[in-house]
Amino acid sequence: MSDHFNSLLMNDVLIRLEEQSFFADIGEERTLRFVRDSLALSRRHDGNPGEALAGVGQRLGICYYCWDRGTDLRQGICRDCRAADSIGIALDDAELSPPRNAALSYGFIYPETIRDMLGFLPEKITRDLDASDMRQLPGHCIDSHLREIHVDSAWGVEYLPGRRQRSAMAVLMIELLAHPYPGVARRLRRYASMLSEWLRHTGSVGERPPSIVPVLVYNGAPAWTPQSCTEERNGFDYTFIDVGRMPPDEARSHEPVAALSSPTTAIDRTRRYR
Amino acid sequence: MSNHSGSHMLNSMLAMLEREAFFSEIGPEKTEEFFRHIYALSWDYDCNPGEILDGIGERLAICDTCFRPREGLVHGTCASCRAS
Repeated sequence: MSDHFNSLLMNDVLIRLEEQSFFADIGEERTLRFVRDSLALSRRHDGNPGEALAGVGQRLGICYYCWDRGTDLRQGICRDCRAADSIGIALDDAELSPPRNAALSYGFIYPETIRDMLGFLPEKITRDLDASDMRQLPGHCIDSHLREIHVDSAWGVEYLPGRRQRSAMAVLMIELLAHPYPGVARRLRRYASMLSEWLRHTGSVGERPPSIVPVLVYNGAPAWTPQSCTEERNGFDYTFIDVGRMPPDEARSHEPVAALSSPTTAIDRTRRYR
Repeated sequence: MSNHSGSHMLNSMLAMLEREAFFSEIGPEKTEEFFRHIYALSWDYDCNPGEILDGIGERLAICDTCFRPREGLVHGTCASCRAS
């Protein structure tokens, strides 16, 4: 989940510069610096490096994962990054779409994953939910600038009979991050508001507004530290799950969610559920 | 309302290109062609032309309304655009 609109805008400009031989003219060293500056700029505007560098990165030999020159790029990611993140299998699987946020963006999220994810949420939220009654919701909405915003995954969970709330249903809005992002709370707050309004507007959840439950799933190589989210939450709360750093016991008891840290396991699970 | 975030991003990117001497290297003709493309993108992505060219337009003598090279810009806008 990010500002795809601005990522695509950045990508269009980079393609134009490539067409005007800008990168050929300035040489490899300056090209690398320029591309890194562009990706940093894109990130400041909530852009997605994979989308900003789509196609261009592959042609310039610059990996959108490590922002460096790499060998044997596949779909924009170099061999070292594929190995480090164990995403090689995914990239070799022709049935799968291009990667973003490693395994997480392949849609390896199933009802079983969501049921398991409920175990990470506060009890005050989950006690009224019916874990056997859930469905995937359209994870996109249109913002006030008519830009299409894609949520990584959105799942509606009904309330238990007799415990109907003021909300139509609880909607788990799942944000997948592979890199620390200091502005994540602001982004989640903004998308929660838009998604709620959009789901109601499109009739996806009935007439009453849903209760949006933001969940941040992180599987990045850099550790998530207090500096990873520097802004104030201002009362806005979300559940944070670092799937790559679960203690062994927790990983065993939350196997469906822990599987999101490993594409190999996730792909096995995908085949099982197809 | 427009895509202010995208406009500021483009403005920063143009400043980066200016620092890289991109415009002086490609010359006025290709610079004009490049800005025509940026102008088209500004429509596609709902950006604000004035914000895109803020500061840069006057330095490069590009009008922030028509995105064409013009002399005598006043507050970034050429005489022809001011008249219309």
